[in-house]
Amino acid sequence: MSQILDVSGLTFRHSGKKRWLKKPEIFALGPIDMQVMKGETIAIIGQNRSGKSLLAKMLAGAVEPDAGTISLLERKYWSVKHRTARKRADITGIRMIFQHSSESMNPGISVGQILDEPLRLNSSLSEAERKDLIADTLVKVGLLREHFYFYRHMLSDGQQQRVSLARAILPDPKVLIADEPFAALDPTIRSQTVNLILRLQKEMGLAFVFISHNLGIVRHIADRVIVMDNGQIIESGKTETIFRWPQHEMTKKLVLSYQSLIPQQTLR
Amino acid sequence: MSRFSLYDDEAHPSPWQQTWQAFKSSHIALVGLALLMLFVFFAFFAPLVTPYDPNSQNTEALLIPPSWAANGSITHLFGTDALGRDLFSRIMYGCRVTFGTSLLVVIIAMLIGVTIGTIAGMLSGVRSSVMNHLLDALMAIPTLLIAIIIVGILGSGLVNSMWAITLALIPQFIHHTRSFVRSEMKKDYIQSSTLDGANYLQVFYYSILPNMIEMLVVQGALALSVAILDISALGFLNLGAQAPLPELGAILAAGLDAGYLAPWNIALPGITIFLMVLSITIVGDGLRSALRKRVNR
Repeated sequence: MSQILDVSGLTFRHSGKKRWLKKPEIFALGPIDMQVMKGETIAIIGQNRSGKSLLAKMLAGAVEPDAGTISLLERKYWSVKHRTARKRADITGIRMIFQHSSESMNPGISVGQILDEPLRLNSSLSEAERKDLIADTLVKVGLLREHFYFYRHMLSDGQQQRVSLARAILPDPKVLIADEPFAALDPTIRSQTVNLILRLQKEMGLAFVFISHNLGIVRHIADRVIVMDNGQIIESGKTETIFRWPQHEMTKKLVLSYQSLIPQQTLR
Repeated sequence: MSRFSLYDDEAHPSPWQQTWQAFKSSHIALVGLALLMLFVFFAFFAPLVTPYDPNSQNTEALLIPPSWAANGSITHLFGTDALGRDLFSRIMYGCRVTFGTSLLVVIIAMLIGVTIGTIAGMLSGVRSSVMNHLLDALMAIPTLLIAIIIVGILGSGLVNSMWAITLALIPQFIHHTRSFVRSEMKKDYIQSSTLDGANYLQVFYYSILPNMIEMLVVQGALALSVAILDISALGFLNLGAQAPLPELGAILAAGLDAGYLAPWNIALPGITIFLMVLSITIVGDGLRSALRKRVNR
């Protein structure tokens, strides 16, 4: 396996500037070092407010880090703040699926137009080619080609999640980052989505980094687990190692709370 | 790539067709639309359909009552005014002047207001604030008063009153657009567009504008009725359109001189203004609920 994503010394400091009638917030993320191999699945777990979502946004380039670099295939990956640098670079290497909410899909335009955007901006395909590619991708994520003309309000939550997935994989990325992709889905749709992502990962050789509170899924699909607390990586390693021999207090708590649901298993 | 699909033949209505489907379901809105279309028709084709020249005076036919009155005549459908001009032709031309100029005023105000508002919404900090409050001083005074002040400085006339009303309408558009763009820019789908490399213009055109149409329709309809009322008010006060120009407010003011003798000279232009504003409000409301249905149902 070859390394495709290398993160070193990634740091984010909440702006410590004191504002009028407002105390400065104290939250710092990092420094974070992590490597992602080709085709690997990495889960980020941790409590709320441990900086997971922020880390995901920084990896995707939505938030500018205060220090540290992200390199994708040995080349620096720029955040949205660096418009001119991004124009020359390949910005479709890392794609993000946002946390599912009513705001993750534009209600005013059809699914086809939503999916057309990344291609229109980042490829030289003609309109007909783009439409064909979009139709193929819709089928790939388990929707129908007719969904091209649908609007957000006509789709269920699971279908909306599939559209977000389609949008993420359209420009053929190397790394897919997802912020709680399974949170809003019921168990059957969740399993379908998990299987879908696993299949796509196998087909496209994607590396998949995801945040989840569902340790069952984490244990099922992740190759490696990163445990975060208060903006720091407190433990990371192979999934089975983390689940069987957790070292850190916080990890032990998380794993215990998960395993107390499965009576036949005990911590060794 | 060849494909065989039976389902591709199914018709997928475009956004405008869907809006029309939703709009059609409201009968009141359809009546309003028919009325509005009539005014639009007058505005465009008045010279072709008017029976008389609106300014030609006929001393043989002074103050003839409208055709439905006992001593009226069918040759002058709405009767004539004190100078013997055909009121029906004058009202048709009045629709052209009042409705046409109002539409122009609103379109200009909307273009300027939405541009400044969008820039203000996308910028942040002091620059955004400066853009946002650029024309706020105008909001301290009622629109009609601003119009009177501007007309007082520049002199009376239809074009001057148009400038005045345009200026008075812009701040509302700025504020509404700015707050809308502000709230929209925070949403996740805008963030994913920017992650795709969309610049401000592309984000605005492809992501924000499709959602903003509902707000624009509501504000545009409101502004259009305000503009019609203001233009006819200024015409009535003899500050806007000047004497021979057939403008509804000016026609109404001219009718006032012979008010007791010929009440139809006041009533008919008044009813026209009323119907114009009413139809715009109804159509604006219907269009808004149709657009909302399209996106939410």
